[in-house]
Amino acid sequence: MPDTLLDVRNLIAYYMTPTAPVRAVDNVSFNVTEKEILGIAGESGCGKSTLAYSILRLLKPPGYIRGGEVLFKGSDLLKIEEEELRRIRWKHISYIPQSSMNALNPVMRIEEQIGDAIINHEKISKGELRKRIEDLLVSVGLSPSVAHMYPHELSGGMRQRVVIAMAMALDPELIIADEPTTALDVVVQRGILQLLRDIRSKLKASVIMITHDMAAQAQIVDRLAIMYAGKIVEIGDANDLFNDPLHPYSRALISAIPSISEKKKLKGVPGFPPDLRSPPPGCRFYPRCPHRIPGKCNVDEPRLIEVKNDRLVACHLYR
Amino acid sequence: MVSYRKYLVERTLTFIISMFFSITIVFLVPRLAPGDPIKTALEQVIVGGGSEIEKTVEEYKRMLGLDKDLATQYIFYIKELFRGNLGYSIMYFPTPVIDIIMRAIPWSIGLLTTTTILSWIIGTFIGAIAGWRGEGSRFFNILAFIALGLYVIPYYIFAVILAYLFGYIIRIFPLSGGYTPGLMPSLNLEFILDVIWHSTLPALSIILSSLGWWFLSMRSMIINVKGEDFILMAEAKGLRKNRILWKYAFRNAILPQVTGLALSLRNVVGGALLTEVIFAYPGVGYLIFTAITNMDYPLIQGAVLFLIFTTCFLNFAIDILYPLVDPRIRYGEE
Repeated sequence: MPDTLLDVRNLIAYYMTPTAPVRAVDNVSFNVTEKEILGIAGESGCGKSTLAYSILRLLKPPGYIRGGEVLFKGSDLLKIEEEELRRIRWKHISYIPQSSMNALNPVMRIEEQIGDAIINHEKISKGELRKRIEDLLVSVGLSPSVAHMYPHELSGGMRQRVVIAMAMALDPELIIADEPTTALDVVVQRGILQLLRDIRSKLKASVIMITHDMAAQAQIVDRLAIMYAGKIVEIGDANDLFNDPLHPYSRALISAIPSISEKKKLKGVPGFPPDLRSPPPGCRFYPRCPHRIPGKCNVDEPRLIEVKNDRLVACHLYR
Repeated sequence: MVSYRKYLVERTLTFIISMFFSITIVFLVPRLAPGDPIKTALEQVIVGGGSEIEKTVEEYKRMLGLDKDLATQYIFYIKELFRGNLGYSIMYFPTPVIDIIMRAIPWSIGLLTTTTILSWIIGTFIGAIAGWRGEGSRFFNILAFIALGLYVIPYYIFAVILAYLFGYIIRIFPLSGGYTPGLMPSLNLEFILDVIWHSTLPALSIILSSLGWWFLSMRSMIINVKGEDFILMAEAKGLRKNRILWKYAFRNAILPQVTGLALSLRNVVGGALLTEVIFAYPGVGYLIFTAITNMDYPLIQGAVLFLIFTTCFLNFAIDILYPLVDPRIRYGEE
C-alpha cells in the first residue's frame, strides 16, 4: 500500500455573488498517493480549477474556502501560517497553470523566472544555478539558449515547456497541472503529453492532472476522478474506469470521446450543467440523468461509496 | 542588434525631416501673414508723413535682408540658423534672441524637470502600494479620492491658491520672481537657497496638480497587473509578497508610467506658462507671454523654433530609449 501524499477531506470552496454563493467545490474528498498521476476530469465550470486553486490556497476573492482540510504529508495547508505555506509552495507542491501564455512575466528573462523559484527556496551558487536551469530546459526538450530569451520570443508550446521545466525545478513531491494542454493545438498538445509522460517516469513526483480533455487523460493518468457540478461522482483506476464507467455521467463523458477506429455517432451529454448557485436537490446530475429514480435521486444526495475494488461511485444505482 | 541599428537610422531620418519641415514652416508663416511688422513698429514711433515712413521701412528691410527674393532669404535663414543665430529681439534690441532664450531656459528646465520627476516618483510609488493593497484599505481609498481631486484641478488654480495662502495671508514665500532683485546670479549657496525659496510655490503648484494623475494611473495599472496569471504563478512559486510587488507587478505596471514621464518631460522647455506668468517666474513660458504682448516677432519666432526643436529632439530620444526599457518593442521589423 503506497503512502498517501495528499489527502483532501470535505473541501468546500464557494464564490461570493450578490445573490447566493456559487458552490464550485462542494464537499470534495480524495487522496493522492506517492508517485501516482491522478486525473480530474469534467465539463468546463464543474469546479476543477477552483479545486486546484483551493489546494494551493491561491483562490482569490470573490472565491473563498468554506471548509474542509487539505492534508499534505499530514499538515493541513488551509490552516498553516502564511510563511510556512510560502516555504511549501513550489518546493513541495508546484503548479502548471491553465495558460502558460500569461503565466510568464513578460519583462523577465526565462532564466530569471526559473531562477527566482530556485533561489527563493535554496542556497545555490550562480554557476550551479545556471547549470541547473540549462539542464531543466534540456530535460523538457528546449535548447539551453532559451534561458536568455523573453517569453514573447517563444512559441506557445515552448512556453508550456518552460512552465513545465519551472514546475520541476525543485523536484517537488506534487505537481498540479491545470489543463496544461488546453491552449495548444493538437500537434503541440501531443508533444506536451509525451513530455509529461516522460517526466513522470524520471520524476518521483505525484501529479494531479486536471483537464476536460478525456483523450488527454486516457493517455497519461493512473487514477481518474470524474467531477460534476462541484462534486466528485466517480473515482478509481483509470483503465478500469475507462473500460467500465459506472456513474451515468462518467458513461456519458467517456462515450463522448471521439474514436478513429470505430465508426460511431458522437454522443454528447444532453442538457446543461446546473446553476451552482442553486444546485438541484439530491443528485446534481438528476435533471440530465437517463437512469434517474424519481422520488429517490432528487431527494437523497448519493454519497461516494466503494462499489467494487478501489472504485468509488456516488450514485443510487449502486447500493 | 542589427534591427536596432536600422531602427536608429529610421528614427534619425524622421527627426531630421520633421525638423526641416518645421523650420520651413516657421520661416514661411510670418512672410505669408498679412501686415508689415516693421511698418507697424515704426508707425508707433514716427509721427507724421507717409513717404518718410515708407523710406525708413525700405531702409530697415534692406538692413534685415527682407528686400531679397524668398529663396535667397531662405538660404540665408538656414545658414544663420546653423550658426545659432535667431535674429535680434525688438523688445531688448539689440540683444540676440538666442541669448534671451538661453537665459530663460535654465529656469524652466530647472523648475519643470524637478517638479515632473518629483511628482512622478511620489505618485508612482504611492500609487503602486495603494494598488497592491487593493480596495480593502480605507487609508488608500481616501488617498485615491484626494488624488482624483488634485487631478481635476488645473495647475494655475493651485498657483493662485498657493500664492494667496503662502504669499499673501501667511507671508513665508515670495510672490514673484526667480530670485531676490539685487542678488547677483552665481553658484553660491546664498543664491541657490534664494532660488529654491522663490521656486517653492510655483513648484508646489505643478507637483500638486500632476501628482494625482501619476498616483491614479499607477494604482490602476497595478490593480490590472495583479489579476495577471504571472502574479498568481509568482505566488505559487512561494515568493515573498514584496518581491512579487516589485519584480513582477511593479516592473510591468511601470512601463506606461515611463512613457507618461517621457511624454511630460518634453514639456519642460515650454515651461508651465500660467504658473510662470502668475509668479512672474523668469522661464520660457513667461518669456513667450511677454514677447507676444509686446509683439516681439523675432523673439516669438525664435522661441517657437526652439520649442519645436526640443520637442522633436526629446521625442527622438524617447523613441531610442524606450526599446531598452521594454524588451517587447521590436524596432518596427516585420
